[in-house]
Amino acid sequence: MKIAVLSNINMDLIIRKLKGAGMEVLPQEGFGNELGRMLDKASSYSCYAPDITFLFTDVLELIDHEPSERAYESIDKWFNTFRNAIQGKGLYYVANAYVYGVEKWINPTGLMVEISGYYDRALKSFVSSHKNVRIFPYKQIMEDLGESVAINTKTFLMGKILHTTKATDNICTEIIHRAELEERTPKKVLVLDLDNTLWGGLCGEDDTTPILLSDSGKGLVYKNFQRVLRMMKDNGVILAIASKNNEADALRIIEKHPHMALKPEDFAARKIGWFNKDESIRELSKELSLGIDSFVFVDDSPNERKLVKMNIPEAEVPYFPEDIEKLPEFGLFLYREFFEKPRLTAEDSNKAKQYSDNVKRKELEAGSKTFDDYLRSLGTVLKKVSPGENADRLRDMLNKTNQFNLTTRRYTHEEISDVLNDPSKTIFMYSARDEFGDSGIIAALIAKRSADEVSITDFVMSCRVMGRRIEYAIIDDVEDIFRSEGVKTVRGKYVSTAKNMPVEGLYADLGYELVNEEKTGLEVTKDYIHKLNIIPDRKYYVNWE
Amino acid sequence: MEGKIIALIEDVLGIEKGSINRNTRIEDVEEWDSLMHVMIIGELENRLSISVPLEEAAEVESVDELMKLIEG
Repeated sequence: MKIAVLSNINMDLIIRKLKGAGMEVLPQEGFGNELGRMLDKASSYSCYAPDITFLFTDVLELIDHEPSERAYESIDKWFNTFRNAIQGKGLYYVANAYVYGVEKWINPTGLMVEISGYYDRALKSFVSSHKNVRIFPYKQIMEDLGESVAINTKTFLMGKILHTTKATDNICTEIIHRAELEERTPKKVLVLDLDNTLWGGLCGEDDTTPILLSDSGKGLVYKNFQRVLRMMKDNGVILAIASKNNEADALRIIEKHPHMALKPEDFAARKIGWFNKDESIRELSKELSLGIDSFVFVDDSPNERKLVKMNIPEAEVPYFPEDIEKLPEFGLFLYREFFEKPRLTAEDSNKAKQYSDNVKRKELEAGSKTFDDYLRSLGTVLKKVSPGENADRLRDMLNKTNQFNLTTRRYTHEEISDVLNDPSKTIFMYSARDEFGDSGIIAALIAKRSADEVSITDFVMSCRVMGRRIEYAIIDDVEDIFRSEGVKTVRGKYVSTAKNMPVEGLYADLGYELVNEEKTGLEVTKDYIHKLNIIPDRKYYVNWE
Repeated sequence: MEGKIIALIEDVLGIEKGSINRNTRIEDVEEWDSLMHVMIIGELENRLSISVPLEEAAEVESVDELMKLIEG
């Protein structure tokens, strides 16, 4: 991965240290004119064509240290030029505003604060309308260290080098972390033990050993840990419990303890009882319909961790801090190491709820007489959504769906925009909801048209909604549309992977005819055809919005 | 103080302890280029509250000269 660091101040040391850490980075050629280098198609920057560009704008330098009306114009101008400078491909991280120095003490609530707020709002709105631009948490890094440790006036005077070696190191660490985030697949589920993990002590013995969970001392450490976990949950991490307790004792604490920051509904699923934890985790994986390789297991007991590690090598089992005062930091470690995503989507904030809704659906299923009864009682409603407005989610689904994925093609940002602009291709996207909640956008299908024939090149659906025959409704919808446009034939394709076995028989179930089957090594490819003058009677229970 | 200053220089340059002594000349240390020189002067002020005057800082050619500047 090639990166570039551009700024209006001297970032030479940062670039040098990144190189020393093994990053492929564009050498510095002076500083300032960062947008000019981006606009100039013949510049060394443009020829280098980095995958990620990190832009650090020293806002004080940008406004020439003059917090007047003109400062707003400078900021507007910067973002307008930046808009013209970014090319279709490539990702951009732009640092948020950090204001420092003695000037800020003169009228501490005055225009200077206004202006850095203005810059941040401009950045936020820019990011919301540009999917390949993200915010770099520069201000957080600087404030974590504090100005007296992070900033060096002398080096700034001598060479416009603002950052101390300490700040330089922390900025480099964050740049490397962000670059890694772009490439890794995040984990989804955090499975937590209870005793001595979410609270201190053992529950069920509260007459002799009251549990530690309170507003001071060690009890507050556990509460603060729970607060970090709650924040993670609000940002898309699915929480679950695997503990060895009497369920009633544990639930009494979870439901009633005044210092539980986490509430019962914050956990998407739970296994509380005297089962082995590896079995509990396998059960949770089934209940949530999520691959066990997306699980992270946290337990204070080294024996439990060892057991899970041995029996479920696919799951992540991190260390547990010896010093429990470090629990909140441990929470942050878990987030950054396993769950953090480069960009949070609206889907992420609802995700935890969607999974706990799913567990309720399974309970309904268990209570229904027949599967059809169950599907009918779900009251599923499908809605078509615009692919152009949800390009992020489209790419996410195409690249991350493993089970319900017929051809498992992966797409870069550039390829997604190519597909969106290709007139021969039609993209269908759907969201689903039912009486238990809104699942958000859950399926995407790409069809390529040539004359009176279309080929379904991609078809993915979230595993959260698998097993509800939603795919039948989708194929009916797609066929109806093409039939009305005069299309005679639809072709479907299945390419096997290690994970998409569940959809191997999909086209056959839909009434498509197998016309070709090929085996290369482990990979099986099946081609299907369907004449649109035949209208199969597919049974499903879906209403359209 | 001399020990502390030398340790700081080695730390900023990211080189082994004991590589620098009072007689070391800047041009003989590969890592000690103009950028790192600026960083050393800056970190002296930041970490040890030693302020080397700007115009003289740039003239320094050896550890000994730097020490003499600091010691006044």
